[in-house]
Amino acid sequence: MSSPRRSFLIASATALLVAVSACSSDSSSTSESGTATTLDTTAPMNVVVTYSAIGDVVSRLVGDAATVTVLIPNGQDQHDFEPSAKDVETINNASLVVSNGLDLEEGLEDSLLQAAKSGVPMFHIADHVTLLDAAEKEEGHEGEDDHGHGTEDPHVWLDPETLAESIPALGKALQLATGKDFAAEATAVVGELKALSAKVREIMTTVDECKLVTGHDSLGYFATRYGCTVVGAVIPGFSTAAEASAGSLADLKVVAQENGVKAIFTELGTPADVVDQIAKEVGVDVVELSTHVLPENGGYDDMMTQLATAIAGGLS
Amino acid sequence: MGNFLFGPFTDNEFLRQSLYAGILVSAICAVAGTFVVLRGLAFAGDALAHGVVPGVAAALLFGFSGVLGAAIGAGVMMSGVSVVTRRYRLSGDTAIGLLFVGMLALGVIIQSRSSSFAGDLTNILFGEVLGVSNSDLMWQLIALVAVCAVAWFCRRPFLLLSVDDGLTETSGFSVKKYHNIMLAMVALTVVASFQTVGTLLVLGLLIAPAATGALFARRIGIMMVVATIVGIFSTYVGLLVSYHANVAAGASIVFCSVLVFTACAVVVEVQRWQAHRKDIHHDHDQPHVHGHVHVS
Repeated sequence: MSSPRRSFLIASATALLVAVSACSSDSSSTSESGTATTLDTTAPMNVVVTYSAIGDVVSRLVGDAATVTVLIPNGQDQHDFEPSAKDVETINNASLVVSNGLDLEEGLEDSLLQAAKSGVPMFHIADHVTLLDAAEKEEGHEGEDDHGHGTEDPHVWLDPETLAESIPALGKALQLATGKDFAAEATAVVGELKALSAKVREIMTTVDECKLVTGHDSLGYFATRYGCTVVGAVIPGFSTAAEASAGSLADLKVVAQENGVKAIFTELGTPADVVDQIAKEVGVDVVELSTHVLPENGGYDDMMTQLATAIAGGLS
Repeated sequence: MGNFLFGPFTDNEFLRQSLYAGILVSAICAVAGTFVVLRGLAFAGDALAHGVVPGVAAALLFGFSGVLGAAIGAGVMMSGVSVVTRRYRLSGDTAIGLLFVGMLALGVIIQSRSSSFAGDLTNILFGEVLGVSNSDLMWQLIALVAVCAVAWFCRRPFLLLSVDDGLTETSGFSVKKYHNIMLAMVALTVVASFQTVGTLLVLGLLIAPAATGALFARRIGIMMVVATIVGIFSTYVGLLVSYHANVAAGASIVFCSVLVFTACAVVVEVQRWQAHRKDIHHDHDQPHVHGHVHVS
C-alpha cells in the first residue's frame, strides 16, 4: 500500500472515530442529580434508568453510591424511543437497570430482554405497585378501546404515592446490586414522595370538578389519586403509537361536550393539528401538559407540581 | 341510511374540513398523477414523497415551517437524482433508489433525536387528515391552481413526453427541461398533500385514481376528471369507514382508492374477456361454417 493512501486511510479512520465520539457524547444524558454522563470502566457501579422522571427519584435514592444514567433523553417520548448501539452497550454494562415495565418502553423491550437473559439485574417499577387495570377506569369511555398496548396502565409515575410503593423493593434491588444498604434512603424517599403527593393534592383542591380529556390515556393513576375522571383521550390507548380515527374523535367530541370539559390537555406525541380542530369545535382551550418529561432545570417534584398546576389552571 | 352516510359530516366540522382537504388533494393528485402514470414516474414520485421526510423532521427540530422543510427536501431529492444520473451514468431508478433510502434514513435519524411535541414520525408518514385547518385548505387551493396552471401551459410537451422522448425533441421541446418541470409539479403535489395523507400514503392518491382514469379514458382531460372523481369518492368512503369502524383515516382513504382501481380493473378485464369470447365464437363459427361447406 502506498504511503499517501495509507495516511489517507489513517486520517479518515481518525475522523470517523472523532465523529463517533462526538455523536455519542450527548446521546446519553443524566438526570439533574446524576453524577456522570458517560460510562466509565473505572466507575464501579452504574445504575441505568430508562427515563428521566424515575431517573431523578432513583438518583435521590442512590446518592453517591453509584452513577445514575438515564437512557431516554429527557424530552423524548418513552413510547417511541429506539435505542442507539451505545444505549444497548450502556444497558449491558449496567449494575442494575430500572425500567417502568408494562410496555411503556416499547422500543427498548428487546434490548432489555436480551440484557436480562445475559444476567443484567432488572427492576421493573410496575411489578411493585398497585396497578390500575383498564376495566376499572373505563367507566367514562365509550366503545371498546383496544388500541392501547396492554390492558394495564403503565403510567405509574404520574402518582407519587403509587411510585412510592416501589421504593422499598427498589432499595433492596440496589442493595443486591451494590452491596450497600439503602433502607434509610428508601424511607426518606418514600417520605418525600408522600409529602409531594400532599402538595399535589393541595393544588388539586382548587378544582371543583376535575374532568380530564388527555392526549393519550396517561392520567389514570393521577386521576384516581386526586379525585379526577378521565373522560376521554385523543389517542384512545396507553401508548402514543396508536392512531386516532374519525369515529373515536367524533365520540371524544360528544363526550367532551356532554361532560362540559373546560380544556383538552395535550402531551408528547399528541397529534397537534387534530387536537386544534377538536378543541375548536368543542369550544375549549388546548393546554399542554408535561406528563412524560421533566421540566427544564427541574426534577420529579417540579414535574408533578407543575402538572397539577397546569391541570388546575386549565380547569378553572 | 342518510344519517349513516352523511351524519358524520353534518355533525362534525373536523370531518368536513377533512373532506374539503381530500377534495383539493384529490384534484391536485389527479392532475399531476395522470402525467406520473403516463410517463411512468411512479418510483420518482415515491422518492419525492420520501425525500421530504428529512426536511419535515428538520423543520420540526429547528422550528421552521414544515411545508418549507418539505419543499427543501423535495428540491434536494430532485437535484440529487439528476446529478447522479448525469455524472455517473447510473440508470434513473438506481439513482432514485439510492437517494430515496438515503433521505428516508436521514429523516428517521433526525427524528430519533428530536424532542419536539409535534415531531412524531407517524404524523409525517401517515398525515393528519383529521386535523385540517383553514390555512391548510388555503395552501392546498393555491397548490391546486399552480399545478393546474403548469399542466395547462405545458400540456403539449407533457403530452409528448408521455408518448416518447424522441418525439418530444423532434417537436422542438427540451426533454430535460420539461421532465424537470414535470418533476417539480409532482414535488409541489407531494408538498401540498403530505400534511393531509402523509408522505407514505400520498403516492396512493397520486397513482391509484390516475391509473383508474387511464383504464377507461384515452384523452388526458377525461383521465383527470375520472381520477378526481375516484379520489374524492375514496376520500369520502375512507373517512366514513374511519368513522364507523374506528380505524385510521389516511390509510382508509388510500386503501379505498386502490380498491376502486382493482374493482375497475376487474370490470375492464371482464369486458375484454367477453369481447374476446365473442371474437372466438365468431372465429369458431366461420371455419365451422367453412368446414361444413367444405365437406358438403
